Amino acid sequence: MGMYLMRQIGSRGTYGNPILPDFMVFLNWKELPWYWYGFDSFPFAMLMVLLAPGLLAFVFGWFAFRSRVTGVYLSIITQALTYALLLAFFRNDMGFGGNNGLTDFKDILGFNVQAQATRAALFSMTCVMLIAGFLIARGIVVSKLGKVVIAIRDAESRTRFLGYRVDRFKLFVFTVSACMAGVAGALYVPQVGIINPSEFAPANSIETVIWVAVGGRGTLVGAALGGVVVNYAKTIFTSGFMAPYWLFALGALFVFVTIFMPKGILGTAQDWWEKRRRPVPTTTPPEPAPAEGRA
Amino acid sequence: MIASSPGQLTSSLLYLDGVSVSFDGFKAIRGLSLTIEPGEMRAIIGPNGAGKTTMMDIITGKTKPDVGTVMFGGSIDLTRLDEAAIANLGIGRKFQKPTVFDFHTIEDNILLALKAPRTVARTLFWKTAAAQQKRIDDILGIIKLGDARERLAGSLSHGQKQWLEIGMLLAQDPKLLLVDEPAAGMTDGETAETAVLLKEIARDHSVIVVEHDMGFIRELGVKVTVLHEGSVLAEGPLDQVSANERVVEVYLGR
Amino acid sequence: MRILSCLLRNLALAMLLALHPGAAPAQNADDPFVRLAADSFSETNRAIEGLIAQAHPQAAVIIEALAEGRLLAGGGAVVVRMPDGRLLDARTGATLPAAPAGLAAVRLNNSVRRTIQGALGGLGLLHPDAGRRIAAAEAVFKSRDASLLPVLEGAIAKESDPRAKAALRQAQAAILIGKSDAPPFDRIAAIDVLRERGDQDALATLRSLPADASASLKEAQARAVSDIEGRLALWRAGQNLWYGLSLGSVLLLAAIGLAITFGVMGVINMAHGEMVMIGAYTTFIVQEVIRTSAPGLFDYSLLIAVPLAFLVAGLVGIAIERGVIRFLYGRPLETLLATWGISLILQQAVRTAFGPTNREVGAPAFMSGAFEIGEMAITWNRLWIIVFAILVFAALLAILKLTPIGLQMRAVTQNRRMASAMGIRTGRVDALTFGLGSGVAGLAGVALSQIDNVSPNLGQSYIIDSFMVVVFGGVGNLWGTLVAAMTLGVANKLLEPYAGAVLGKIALLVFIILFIQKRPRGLFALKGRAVEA
Repeated sequence: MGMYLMRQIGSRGTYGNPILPDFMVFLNWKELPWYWYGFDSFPFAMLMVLLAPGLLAFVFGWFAFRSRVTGVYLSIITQALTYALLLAFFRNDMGFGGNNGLTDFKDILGFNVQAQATRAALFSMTCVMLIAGFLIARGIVVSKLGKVVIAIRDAESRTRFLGYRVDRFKLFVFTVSACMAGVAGALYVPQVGIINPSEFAPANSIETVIWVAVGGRGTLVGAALGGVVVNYAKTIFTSGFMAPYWLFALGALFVFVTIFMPKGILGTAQDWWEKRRRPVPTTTPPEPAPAEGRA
Repeated sequence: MIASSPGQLTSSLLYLDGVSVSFDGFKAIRGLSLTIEPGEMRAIIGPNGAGKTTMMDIITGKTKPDVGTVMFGGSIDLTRLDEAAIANLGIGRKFQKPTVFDFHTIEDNILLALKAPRTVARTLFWKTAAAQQKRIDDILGIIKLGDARERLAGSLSHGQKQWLEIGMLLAQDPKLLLVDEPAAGMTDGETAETAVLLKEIARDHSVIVVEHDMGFIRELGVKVTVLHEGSVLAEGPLDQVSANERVVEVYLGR
Repeated sequence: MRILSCLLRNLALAMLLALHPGAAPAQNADDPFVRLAADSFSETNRAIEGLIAQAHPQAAVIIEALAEGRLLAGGGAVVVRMPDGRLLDARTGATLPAAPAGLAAVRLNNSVRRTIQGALGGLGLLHPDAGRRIAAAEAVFKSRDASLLPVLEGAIAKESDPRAKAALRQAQAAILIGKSDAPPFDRIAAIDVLRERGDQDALATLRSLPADASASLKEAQARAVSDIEGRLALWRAGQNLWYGLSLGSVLLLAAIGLAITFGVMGVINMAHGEMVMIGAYTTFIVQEVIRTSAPGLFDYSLLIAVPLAFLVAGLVGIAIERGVIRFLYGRPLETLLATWGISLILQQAVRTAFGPTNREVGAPAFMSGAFEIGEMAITWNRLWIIVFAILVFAALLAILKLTPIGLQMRAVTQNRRMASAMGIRTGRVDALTFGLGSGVAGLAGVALSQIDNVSPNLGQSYIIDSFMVVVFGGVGNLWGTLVAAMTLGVANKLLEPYAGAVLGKIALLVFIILFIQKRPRGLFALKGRAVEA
């Protein structure tokens, strides 16, 4: 998305080059690298928004799941991968603007990104996408495939002995979620106005996991709820006199949620509701095995 | 030891010859040879550490043998396949510790096991057909869990879980069933019923049962193979085997 | 001194005749002092050469003054301002009562500076002190100023100090290489001399052989160059290996605590890097206290900091284990999240207390400086850190293998319920194990404070590397951690010259990712039923 927006700046950049983004002119590049071609077309850029992360996740996942890297190991090597990407994108010769990233966007589909109306449109688009993403995820979860995936979560090798190729199911879910993350990124860039490699920092993916944990794992609504709650808190905390304490609050939130609310807001609320309804609970199922880190 | 002539190779459903595997120097299986004929039910006994579970791991592809031949249906080399491929060939396995999907309903457990295409796309757009639904209902009836179909499997008792797992095996409709300690943790009544159920299943399936419970084995009334330290110690009817001095020595206690 | 200048004059005259066979005797325009006053860089250059050629008695004073911008010229006069402020007439050396009007400093450019350097070299070649002669010979070696060749030859003839003689010969050789009209035999000998010297400078000098040299000369040069290159490549490899081991020891220090908490206990401690940071800040505080209250103890500050850092980080670790982690055993994802939260809190706490900027941690005398082995430079701080890493490793191994608490730790991690049934207080063992791992991280902080910036972000830069090391080495295996740290360190440094620092690092990360695909349990992993359960 950032790439599309960079191309849309066109000749209005500081250096006035109609084709090359400013940073490339600055770096004395003579022509556009091959992977920048096509990004002046909006539909192509949108396609890449889905394909690029999807493909990356697919290749990575194919390796990881085929060799049955699970749990902690998976979390660690996904972190290592993002770290490697972070380092790579910080390099100027990667062609993505190095440290500074891509910024100074002007318009999107001909509308000024700064304009109030555009921003409102982008926001509504985000809501639409959230609902769409929710529906897709919902569809997956209630399908038989969703049942297989839950089965894999709870008893991976049993699922395998039933004849399911666990790696392919994981790969599917992994790739779909990467595509959704790609959409999220595409919506993020025009609204925030900058994208740079520090967004690759492992901290960000871990923060995303905490959104899900806060909202309530194992439910889709929980993930959305968590994202909104944590980021609303972030907005309150990081503006005004509380600013220096935001990291304390975030850190404490991590600890609090994991220890006292392992099921998140939604799960805790549900428990509380069921306890009220049925004072004597039937045999409760055991704790779910922790979902594998998709951080 | 079993003499393995080439003739058996083609006719047996499962054929193990000279299989060995070791973990960090410890030989869990040494030179194990075993054949199962189509439609046969076989009981396997042996003290702890005799290699019963490891043998099942090898057959189902969880563990790869260091040396040896493992053939299925006379021509398929199981050592080259992974668990899912072996399962799809028609080998079903029930684990020692009952392993069902705790967070799925009993019906969904059976549905997941039901013989059907296992690809990602086919499961994503799955619709249960009427015939399949009937099969599920039948199995639920056989394992006496029809009334509990909406309950989460995690809430079942130990014996019920064992039965659910056997039901899942039935749903898979495999050619060969590997059943690891089906009677463990069951009351005497349940044990007897399980034996009846297994005999029922054995009519149109090949079955390997691993069990400790001698009463249960006796009730099955089938050929018995005794494993000890990773290889076959004796084989034959239970009475003959239990009269064998070495079997008495290593297994029936001294 | 008279004899010396006499000699110089003779030599210089001979040289002058050799270089400019038809040169007329000094006329007014050739007078170096006229040239100096001409305010032209090329004239200044020739003036310097002229002064040397004449072996002018004031040459040393004048050239030195020129180099330091104290040579003034104007209105036909050339004046030296001495460092004490007196003004001397450059030609005679007589003190001037008053400055003539219109004086300005003679200007310098790089060409003039080079000429000066060569000239000073020529003057120094005959210095009575052998050390100065060697230094002068080195200067000539670099400047390759052909005009000094006669001076050199004279100096070699009467040189008695072997080291100085070698240096002079090398300087001579350097000049001969570039001097097309020198006898070919001498030039071949010169190539040999340079080959024996065998360092980067010799290589550069050899490469300066003019393109029109004879074939035999070129062949000798090519052989000498490849000889030296081979030698240098070996040294460079040695140096890279050293850097690699040094990086490896840093990785080992950072990772070994994690090998305990993650490897032995299975706890993913994302706050591990912050334990390292706490160790580094403890060192900082110790040094601050010593600076203000007992400056004499400064050299011992690290020795004091080591146990303190261990204690502080260890206690923080125990607090984290008792306060948070013990509620989360068996839930790795939650542990990851909670410890990540703790790491945020610790970072922010340090940022609030000490500020976000880097803090200065000094190096005691025994850790400063460097020494050279052949072409390798070895800094003391890196050497000590390697030693320290090995000591920490050995100590940790001993604790785990030989002490009762080590036995208990291993028992608890292998079978918690059984250990508890045997009367081991598992809670206490957990806390101590975690404290030990954290304390070791604190020790790493002390070492890192010597080579890295002490800032609140210190820990973050090591956490991923540390996990990589532990995972690569095989979880729960200290020796694996050692081998992995050293392998990754050395591989990183050996890759760097080819791929660059960042690409080298990326290559390693990708390698580890692929490696984990192949051997998901690391280099040294247990195999069997138990680990697959």
